[in-house]
Amino acid sequence: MSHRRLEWLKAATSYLDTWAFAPSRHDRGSLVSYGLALLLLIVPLNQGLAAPSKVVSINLCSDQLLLMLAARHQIASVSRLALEPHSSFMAAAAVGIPVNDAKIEQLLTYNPDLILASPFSPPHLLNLLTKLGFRVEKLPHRSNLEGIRDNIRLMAKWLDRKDQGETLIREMDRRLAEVESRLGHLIRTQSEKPVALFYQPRGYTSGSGTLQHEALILAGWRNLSAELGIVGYSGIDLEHLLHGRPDQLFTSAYTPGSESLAQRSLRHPALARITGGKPIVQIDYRYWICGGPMIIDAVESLANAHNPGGS
Amino acid sequence: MSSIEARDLSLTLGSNRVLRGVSLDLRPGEMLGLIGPNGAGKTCLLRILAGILSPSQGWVRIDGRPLQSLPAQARSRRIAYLTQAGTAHWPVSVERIVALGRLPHLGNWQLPGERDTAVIRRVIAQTDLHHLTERQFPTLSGGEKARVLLARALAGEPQYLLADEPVAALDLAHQLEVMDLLRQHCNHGGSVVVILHDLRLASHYCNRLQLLLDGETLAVGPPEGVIGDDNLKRAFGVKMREGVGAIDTAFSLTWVRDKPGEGQ
Amino acid sequence: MRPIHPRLLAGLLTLALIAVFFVSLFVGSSPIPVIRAAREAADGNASVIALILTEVRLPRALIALFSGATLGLCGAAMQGLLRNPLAAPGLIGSSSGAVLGSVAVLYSGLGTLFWLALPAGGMLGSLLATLMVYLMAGRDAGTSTLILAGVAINSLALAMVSLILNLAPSPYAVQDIVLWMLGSIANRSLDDFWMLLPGTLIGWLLLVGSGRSLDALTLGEETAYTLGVNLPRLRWRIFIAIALAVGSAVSVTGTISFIGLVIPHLLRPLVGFQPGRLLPVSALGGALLLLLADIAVRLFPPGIEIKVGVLTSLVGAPFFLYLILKTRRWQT
Repeated sequence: MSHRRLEWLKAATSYLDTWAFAPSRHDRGSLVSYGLALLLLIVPLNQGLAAPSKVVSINLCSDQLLLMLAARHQIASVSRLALEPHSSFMAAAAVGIPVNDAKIEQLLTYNPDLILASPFSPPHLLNLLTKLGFRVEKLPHRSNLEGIRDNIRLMAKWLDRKDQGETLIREMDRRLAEVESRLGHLIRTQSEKPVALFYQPRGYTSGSGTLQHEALILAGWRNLSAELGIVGYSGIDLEHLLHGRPDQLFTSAYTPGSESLAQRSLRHPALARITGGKPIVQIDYRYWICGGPMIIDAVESLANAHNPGGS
Repeated sequence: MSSIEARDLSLTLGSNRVLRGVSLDLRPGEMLGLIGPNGAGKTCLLRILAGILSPSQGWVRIDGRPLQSLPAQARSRRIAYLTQAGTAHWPVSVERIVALGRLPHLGNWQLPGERDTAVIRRVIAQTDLHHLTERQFPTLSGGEKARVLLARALAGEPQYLLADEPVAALDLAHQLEVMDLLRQHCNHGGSVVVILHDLRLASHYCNRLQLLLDGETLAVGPPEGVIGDDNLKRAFGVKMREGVGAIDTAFSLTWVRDKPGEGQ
Repeated sequence: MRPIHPRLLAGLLTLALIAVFFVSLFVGSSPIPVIRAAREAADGNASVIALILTEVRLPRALIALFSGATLGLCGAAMQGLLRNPLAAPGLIGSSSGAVLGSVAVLYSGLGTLFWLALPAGGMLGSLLATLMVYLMAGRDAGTSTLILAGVAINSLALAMVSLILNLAPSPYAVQDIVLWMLGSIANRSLDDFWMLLPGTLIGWLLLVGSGRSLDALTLGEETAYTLGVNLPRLRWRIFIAIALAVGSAVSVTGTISFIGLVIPHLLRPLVGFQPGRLLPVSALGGALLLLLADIAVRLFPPGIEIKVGVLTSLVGAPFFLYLILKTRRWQT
């Protein structure tokens, strides 16, 4: 079956190559490749129009921004993960939209005028799509607030929805300012700020240059991991962690109802004792998988942990 | 009255009937030689007497008690068994191997006491091993190994000693030495069942011989009665050479050890 | 090597073990005043240094002590029973079976059913795998048959472990395979130690007093039988003891290879090759080796996390090759 698919694709692409130079040559013509060629004829017509109307996203990060910014009729398909509530912040909005598995045949059937991918999408797939004449855009990977704003503007531009983009950014900034003013009453100087860190299954933590770091700082915490010199995601030694005397631990494991050795490391009794019995606060994983406006929800959750149960 | 009685022993291994209705009696102070061609069932019979194999039919009584009903410790104190071509799986010292023979006399948590040490020392002297006590078993010669294993069996002070070809692969002098030790065991009131291939050794040392053929007893009794022309022909397919006079001269041992033997 | 007096040898090993145990409390990624920490811990003062000592270093040292001793002891018992210097829990399926059992329990979520569910899974898996190797190889298995059967069961268990981890709902499951296969005692807590303790202690107790029977087995099974050894009972006793002890240890530490192979082999000449005397000293030696390996692992700079099983394998694998070469020389 897959072998036949390959044959079919080969026939189609080689037909396309020859067609550019000799449109009258039909000697390859199996019915299938004819059909595909006819289908592909339409592609160039759609390109260059201002607002794309058949957008296909094959990556969770572009899925979420697409769902936030696009008009519903612009969206042809999102990736299957967009529907998964633990991964996707926009899972509810994605209900009813056709899902794809980033398979070439499937993508072709949508006849998209814009394909949204990530820098980590399979390069073979993206090359083939480009070769077939589709417009492919890769949404960059971002790990700070400024980058998130850039991504929103970029997506808004692609979709020709600049106003929606600016509205989204304004809303983000409004909520951030709210958090900041709320924290202003609690914390005055840098040294008064409590120390926290993200402790993940297998003893990993988020140092500087990560979304978690950005969110901790915005929520009025000092990030112990960054202060210990950790950059990016890295393991942290338990003794180092205890020595830093964190006031609060956060975790953000994507672990709905599952169990593993890695997750057991979060249950080490020393972790609870160092924070005076305060439980580790779980922050949803879906806020961080991709840089996006949902980071504000994470900042709000982190800020609420300053005064659990209160205000 | 100490004795081994076995009646109508039959043993079937797979589809093979190894023994068919063999009976055996061992009296106090007696050395009984089991002889017969290869595959006659001698080793199986000895294993049944040692309790390692259970007969398909028939029974064995040790001192009047059924063998199978004897607790392991009581059995191991009465009967010592010397396997054919016995060996040690670890290069343990000679002294430690001989000391293993005392296991039947030690309780679960009991350490070897003075009496155990004395018995071990006596057995080592009897078997002429005192200069070898620290040597590792694999470094010994074949004759020395056979003596060590025999010493191990004797260290248990068994009433009955069951030995499967204890002199196979030994040179003449060591054959006599081992047979003398077995004889000595009988002289001290023990009894021995020994499998032998050398009919001269058998008729010289044993009080009685039991000739097995195809899992049945062909003849049993004093050596001169068992080793006859008829039996030799039936069991081994051999006959006396022309010119040899009587059977008992043919099977008499024409050499002795060149040092004062304790055995005879 | 000449045998050392058994009490002297055990005494020396015990002293070394006590010393290394205390040293291991002093070694960690961040230097702490251990004596003061101990005093504060004794006073019930929950200071950071007391916490590091009692909740991080102590559990780690205790787990190294008990699982190392278990591996050494079980290796010696297995080698004595099978009269084969290459029979070790890691080679004949006990460890990989324990991993399979623990993995099956943990990732199916049964681990939270009751306190000892995880080690119970390890024990059951260990027992089944060991029995399968034993049945496949036969009672009087030679070295090569035994190892062949061990390889087959080990790969089967490993394949099933990978399958379970791949199908497990947890996204961390697949990465956990490293922890299970290489063995680690980093970041363990006292809870883990309490989980490991019952099975290992019962296993050890079962092995106590089996030394004489193993000594008798030196002369082969028939002779051992006529010396009064109840062989079927001995076999079951040792298999169950190993399953309980190794199963519990592995369910907490993963497979730590080669200790059960190397330690009995190194110590055997020192006890005059007597399987019975080898048991206690192998337990001491195994604990010593694992504690030392774990100290060595902690000496690497932070950020470089070497699993303790990697270290024992680095020492053990060449040793195993040497053993094979030596065995080959005997045979030719």
